Amino acid sequence: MSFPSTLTEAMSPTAEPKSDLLAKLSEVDRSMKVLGVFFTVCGLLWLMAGTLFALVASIKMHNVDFLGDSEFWTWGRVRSAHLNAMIYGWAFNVSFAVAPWIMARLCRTRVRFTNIFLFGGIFWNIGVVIGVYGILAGHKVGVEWLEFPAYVTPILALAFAFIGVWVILLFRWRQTGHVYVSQWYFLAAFFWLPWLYAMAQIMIVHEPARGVVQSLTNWWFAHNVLGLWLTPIAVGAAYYLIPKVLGRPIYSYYLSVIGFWALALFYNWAGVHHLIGGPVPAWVISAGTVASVMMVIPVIVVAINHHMTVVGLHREGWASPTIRFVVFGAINYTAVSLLGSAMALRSVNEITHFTHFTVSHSHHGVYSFFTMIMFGGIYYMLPRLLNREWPSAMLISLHWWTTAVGVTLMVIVLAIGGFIQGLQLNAIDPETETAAFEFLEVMRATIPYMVMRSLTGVLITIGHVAFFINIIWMLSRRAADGSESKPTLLTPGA
Amino acid sequence: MRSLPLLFLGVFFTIASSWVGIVLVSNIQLGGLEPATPELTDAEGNPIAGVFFEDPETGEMRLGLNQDGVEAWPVPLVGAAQRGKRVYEQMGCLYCHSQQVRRQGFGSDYERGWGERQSVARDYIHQERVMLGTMRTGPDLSNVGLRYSELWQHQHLFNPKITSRDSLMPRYAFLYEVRPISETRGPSPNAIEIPEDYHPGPGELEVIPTQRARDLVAYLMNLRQDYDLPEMRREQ
Amino acid sequence: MSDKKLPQDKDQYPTTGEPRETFEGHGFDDDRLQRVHAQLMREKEEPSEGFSPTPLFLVFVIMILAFWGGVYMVWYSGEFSAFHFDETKSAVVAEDTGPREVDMMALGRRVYAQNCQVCHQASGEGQRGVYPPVARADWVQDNPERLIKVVLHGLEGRVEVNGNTYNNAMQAFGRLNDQQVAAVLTYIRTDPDFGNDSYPVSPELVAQVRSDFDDRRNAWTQPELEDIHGPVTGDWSPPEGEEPEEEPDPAS
Repeated sequence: MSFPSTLTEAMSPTAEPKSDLLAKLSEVDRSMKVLGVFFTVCGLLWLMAGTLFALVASIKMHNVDFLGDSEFWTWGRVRSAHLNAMIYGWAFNVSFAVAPWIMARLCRTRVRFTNIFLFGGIFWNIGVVIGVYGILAGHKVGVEWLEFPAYVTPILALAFAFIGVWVILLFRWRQTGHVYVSQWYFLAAFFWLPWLYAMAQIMIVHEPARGVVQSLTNWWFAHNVLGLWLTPIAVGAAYYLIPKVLGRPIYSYYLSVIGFWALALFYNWAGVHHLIGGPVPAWVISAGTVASVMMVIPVIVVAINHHMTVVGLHREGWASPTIRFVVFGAINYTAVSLLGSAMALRSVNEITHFTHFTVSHSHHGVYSFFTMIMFGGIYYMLPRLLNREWPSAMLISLHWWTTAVGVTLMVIVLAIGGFIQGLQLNAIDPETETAAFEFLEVMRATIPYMVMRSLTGVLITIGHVAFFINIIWMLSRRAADGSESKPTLLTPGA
Repeated sequence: MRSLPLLFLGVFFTIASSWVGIVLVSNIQLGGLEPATPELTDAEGNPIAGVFFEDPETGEMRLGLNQDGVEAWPVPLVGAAQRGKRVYEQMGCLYCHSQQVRRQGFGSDYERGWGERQSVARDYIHQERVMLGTMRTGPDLSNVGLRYSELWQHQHLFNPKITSRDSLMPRYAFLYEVRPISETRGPSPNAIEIPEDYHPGPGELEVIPTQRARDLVAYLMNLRQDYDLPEMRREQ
Repeated sequence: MSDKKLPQDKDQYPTTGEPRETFEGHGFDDDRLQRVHAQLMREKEEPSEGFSPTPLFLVFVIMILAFWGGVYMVWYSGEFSAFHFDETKSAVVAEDTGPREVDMMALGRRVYAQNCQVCHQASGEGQRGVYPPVARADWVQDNPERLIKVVLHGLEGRVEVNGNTYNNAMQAFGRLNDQQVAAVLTYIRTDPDFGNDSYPVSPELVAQVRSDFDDRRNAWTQPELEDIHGPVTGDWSPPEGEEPEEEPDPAS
């Protein structure tokens, strides 16, 4: 080991000589190039497809006659196609791009045998294509988040085996002694998901359990895809990107530890709050409610940790597209989780259950939090993989403003509409002891919110198109020869 | 955190805890439920209140037994209704319609007449696919078989606006065959009556439900939770 | 990406901890790195962790939440029973308090909301050309036995209500018990909102009609009902002496 040349290198256990570090990172980036680009582009295509499904489904909510006579495009199918394209298409692909890349960088080891990894990725996407087509063609499974026809299960399971094993192996090949917090999250996520998926497939689709045990398994699975897969991936990415871009250590190792273990301990119990009031025993609901409220702990811990890292560097952060998206996502992680804890209380859930408030909440989680952090990750990763800059800062700016404003408005509009809907649905006229509002009356009252939702959806679509153009433009450019090395910043002179 | 075995054990045990707690324990508790008569009896055949009775010899609490000669509920779907459930699943009905009644005092399910009692785990034991639903863009369907006639259901599926003018439900006209009335045989007996305002061609065309529409309506007509179950007796 | 060209030992960093001297098999220097990876050169340090202490208030938050969680779980455990669905009630079997006084108007309102409202609407006006009205309707103010038959067995074919013709089908509601049928008919016949100035229907009358036509399976048609009860007039009054006593005021 050469003598440390700076004080930081001498004091920090992870410090290594800068030139050596850069050599290693450069090698990591080169080895991830094909994989990273492949998964990003696949994810991007799914994002566009999912957006199309979303628009169709959203318009149908206030204009029933839109594509009204097509069985293929009937609402109940387009909605599932949207969800599955976004989750298994976009979210999984982008996770497969960003998480292994960060993992490899933190392990300082290049990705080996990339062909096998790529093979898994190709199979995964074939599986998702068949699955989404199967939903629209009428072979779907009527279980939320598991709509892919049963014949897709083996394809996805096999593909994930190829991909997931790689992340574990990457870790096995690591060249560092210290294990950084992002690595815990990624390792845990790649361990949890196969368990969840296998159990859900067996107990619901292939060998159905008796009665409502299916529903319990369903929500144990569906909520944990969010909590034990998307959340660790996005939180792990934020834990890497924030200190990396800002060049400041993460605030507190101790908080990282508490945050990780509290999430692992409580999140996996929370899913049953989707069945509050339903035909399942009271104790299991109570357990889900308690776990959901306990989620406050990891959430505020992570919030403090991220906030204290960013604090004071807001101007620098605002200039960086990565930090803008990631910090937006991190803030929304706090917001959506605290809101989720509140919604799991029986008295609140009585109102919000069965309404658009839940829809608002799920978009808040998967889009405002997860997707925005992943956008930030792509903005950081692709220039390094491709060795070229983003062609247009204007398109990034457009992408940022349309999606951030669009999704925030959508979440607010649906939350307000859903809450009113819930209050009206539950209102009982004390004199007559019947419902105070007729059902159709309540539905009519939601239509303005549905129209507004479609408008915010159009805004988000514009952002996705800008993102799409920027990536395709970047891919079709010649690699920079080193003369151009300025980062793409959103505010000039920062 | 450098101790990897510890990390792996922790990650393993956290998910194992919820899997055991939510999935396995509930499977042990609910996986063995059988159809039950409204009232259960003890070993001697005396009716008991609730689900358990105390064994006089050992003092243990034991599950009550079904009464002799009384029909036990729920009963499984058969034939067209069973096929119709598949149609219900394929059309994605569960994304707008729930199939669970919340108890009186929690929401307005009871006051809306969606059911006389809360849905309980035993109601679903025969369902190979449980579609409780999480959204109520449309009304709850736990007891829809008790509320409407078959004709109403056909009209509603063909065009929801016939029966509910401002409905947000998509029409399922593709489950119906609209064809010219035969000149030699006259109108088909299977044709469903459609009011003139909504009729695709009164006097010339007729609307015939396809097999899938008939199955779906058979399924809907079989949705009911109007029987009494012993677990309800303890909480009224 | 050309893995083949690399010697095998390139897969391992030296275990001695020595920094590698070569990069991808070539002499490696800052100049070359600058050319192949401009983005890398301006990167900041790889993330590391600070060791700021955990804030004290966090410990309190965790303690309070854990305490609340424990209390909630004990309070709403439902005794961990598989048959306990309402967390607010204990599992003790409620005492039978005997038959309760039934408010016929309230019951009728509820039965109406549950069963009739979808077609006949909350206002009772029905839907023009599809569902006949029950508000201010000649049928409703007519002989209650005719109405009971319609409710118990259904009605189909051409029907004339208030001079308008309808051709649809009403399903049978035989599953409702005598009291429910009596209550809903009492409700639509006497509630001022429906504008039917008529008198209540008793459960006994429903029971009688039900047993008289016990074996009937098909819906009624208008001509059939007219054969029994004559044409609908709307100002029908019961034969002398059969008019039931005034129901006690529901408010009392």
